[in-house]
Amino acid sequence: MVTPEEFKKTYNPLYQYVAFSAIAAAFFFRIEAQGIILFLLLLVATLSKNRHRIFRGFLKFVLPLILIGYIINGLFFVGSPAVIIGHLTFKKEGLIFATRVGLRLTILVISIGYFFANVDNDTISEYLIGKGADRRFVYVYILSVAMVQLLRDKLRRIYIAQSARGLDTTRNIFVRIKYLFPLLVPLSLTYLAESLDRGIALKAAGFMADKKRNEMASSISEIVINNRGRTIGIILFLITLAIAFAQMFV
Amino acid sequence: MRHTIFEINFEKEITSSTIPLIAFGAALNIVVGQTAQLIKLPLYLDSVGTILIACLVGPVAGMITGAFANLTLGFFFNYAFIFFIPVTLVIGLYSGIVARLGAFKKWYTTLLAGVVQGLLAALTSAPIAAFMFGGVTMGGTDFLVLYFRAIGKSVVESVFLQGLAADPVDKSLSFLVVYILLSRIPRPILLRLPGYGNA
Repeated sequence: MVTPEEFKKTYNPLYQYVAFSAIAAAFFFRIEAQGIILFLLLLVATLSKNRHRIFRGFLKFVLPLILIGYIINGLFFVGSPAVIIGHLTFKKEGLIFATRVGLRLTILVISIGYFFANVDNDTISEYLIGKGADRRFVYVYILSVAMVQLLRDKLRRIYIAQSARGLDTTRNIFVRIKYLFPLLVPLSLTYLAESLDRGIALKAAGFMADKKRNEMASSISEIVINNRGRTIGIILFLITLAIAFAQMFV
Repeated sequence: MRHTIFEINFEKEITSSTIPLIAFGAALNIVVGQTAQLIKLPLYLDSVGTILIACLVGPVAGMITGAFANLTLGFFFNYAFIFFIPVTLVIGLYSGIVARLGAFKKWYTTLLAGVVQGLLAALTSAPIAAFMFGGVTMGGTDFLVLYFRAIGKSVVESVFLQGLAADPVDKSLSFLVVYILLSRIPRPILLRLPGYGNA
């Protein structure tokens, strides 16, 4: 039999502090120190059980961005030549600038990815409410995530229907701009009316009336904070800030 | 106890009736952006929901819509969108203010407001794109950055000039899309919305 204790969710603040520390390092550490931070972060992310989620976003978007950054900044930065490949001359200053931007971006993206890959949406929402965040924001977040999928499904159905009626995406740009409306108008009107009805339902349920009158607020006590994770996380964050501060004087 | 204009507008605009509208606007931003890709338009069109909600509810609601759209995009599709939240705040605030001034009543005022919005968006996004991404955003407009770098402009200048070339077109079309959407909303539905006088 499942006891009520098993329904409790555990929130580990360590993930949050690892992300905070890495973000602080990305902004305040020198380029050499950022390399060390990136190595440590990659190690932590690789050992994480959700590593595929962390690296998927990185490989899909950030890696091509960094490579293009090297090409654009390397070729067009004003400075002394560093690498010559055929007719292309890469400038030293441009490559250093691209490295600095690439390092910062990688640290930011992997640290944010590390946090969201390890803490699920429901737990974040309930933790935020428990911490005193405005429940209106939390509800907007939960609902917008749910609505993206609903709108995409509806759009797919409208697109298929409009394609059957002759929507052709190979025509010129002005015709394609005109095609936006048969897709967007039914989609927007359907969900606008539905959102208004949802608003009435929320009002009727007393969403704003009392904190205890909705399920999200009543489940606050079910979140268990991992104190050990929080202590380690705070120490890590303080060390990061101390290093950043010390670098100002060295 | 004294309250700021922002706090007063926040309490007025963010109610149980408007919360689902804000969530809808955030989702619409994402879906319209994907629709533009679906019909192969070389534009972002990722602020239609923000502009629509800013017009129908108010500037604060518009700002929150934009911020949540980018948060959702950031968490589920691409973390880079999180860094552009300041741009969406400017878009929401500006759209709400011009809507109250009656910009969405005529097509030409809508177009003009869209062009100004584009300039503001270019100004806000240039420092973020330059310092965070080194001027590269993986969009088709990167070729413009490349061109401006080639003629000797700095990273910030190149990104800003690219924004000036692309954003006014994108934002004026977004404003026109919202203008047309507003004109198609049936009156009984429109009357249920707080900003029905703006349409």
